[in-house]
Amino acid sequence: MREDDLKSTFERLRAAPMPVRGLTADDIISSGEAVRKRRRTMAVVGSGVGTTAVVVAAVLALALKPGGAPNGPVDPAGPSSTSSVQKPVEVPPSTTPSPSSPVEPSPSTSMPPAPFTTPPSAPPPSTPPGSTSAPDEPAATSTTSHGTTPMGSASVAVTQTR
Amino acid sequence: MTDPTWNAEFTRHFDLTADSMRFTAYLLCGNWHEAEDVVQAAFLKLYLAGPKLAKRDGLTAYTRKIVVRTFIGERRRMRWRREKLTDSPPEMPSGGEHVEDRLVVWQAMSVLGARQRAVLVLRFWHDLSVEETASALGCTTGTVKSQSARGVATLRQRLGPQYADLWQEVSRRA
Repeated sequence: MREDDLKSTFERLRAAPMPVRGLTADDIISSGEAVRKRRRTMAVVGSGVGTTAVVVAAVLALALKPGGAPNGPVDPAGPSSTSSVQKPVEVPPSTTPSPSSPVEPSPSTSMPPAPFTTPPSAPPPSTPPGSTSAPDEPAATSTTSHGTTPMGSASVAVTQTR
Repeated sequence: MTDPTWNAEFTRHFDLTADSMRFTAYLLCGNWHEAEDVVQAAFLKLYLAGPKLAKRDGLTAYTRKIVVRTFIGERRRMRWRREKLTDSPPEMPSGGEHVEDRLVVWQAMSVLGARQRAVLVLRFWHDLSVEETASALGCTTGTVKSQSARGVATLRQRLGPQYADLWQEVSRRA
């Protein structure tokens, strides 16, 4: 069997008498209008039901939320019967600084570091030449002095040894 | 919302193509009753989709596509149905009026699948190309070629050399 035989078969079938058509365009149009009307009704009903369901769900969610809504009516707020004056809080002066309080800076740290040698333009002190430290410059002597002795006494000790 | 322009155009298109679509559906389905149902469903889909169509110049091809796809969809659903549509009640003997039901080729085509039959009808009755057939069926051109080759091979196998004698007998009865 070839493809031409199939085509000729179809043509002979087409030439055979067809049964009477029981379908008209008006039937299709009326059916289409009914389908459209039904779809429109379904859309309206569906959207209404959906909107109602969303609203009911939102109301239920708010009502069943724990602590969301108060149990009873709440009285309006009014003036209180007792008046209280707030006193300023006094902070007692602390004698001993707490470890967390800021420590006052020591003079050695607050003062700018002084040079070890006196400028050459300075007038010569009363000390004999060769001494490198002045008595009124504790920062310079603090580095050369011993650990626990006061600065002034250290410089005095130096001068005394000389 | 009725569109009188579309209603008039649809009526004109229906009067022009209804018989052709009926015959196409008959070739696909194998009996006039099912063909009538398929054509009615197809034209109803066309009527509902008509106002949304941007271009209405290819209505005939579009209607044919709807008919073929409606037929394939009906066959897919028919698998799960218990009732099967027949041309005449089973308890009555088939009359001599619808002799085309006894066509040999027709009986041979009844064993083909829905897609194979649709491919054969579109290719050899409507003279569509492979690409047009693929577009109408919503498949690839390779599928059209393979389905067409398998369908013709099945017909050859079933009809065989007795095809000419059987065809003469059918023609004589018709």
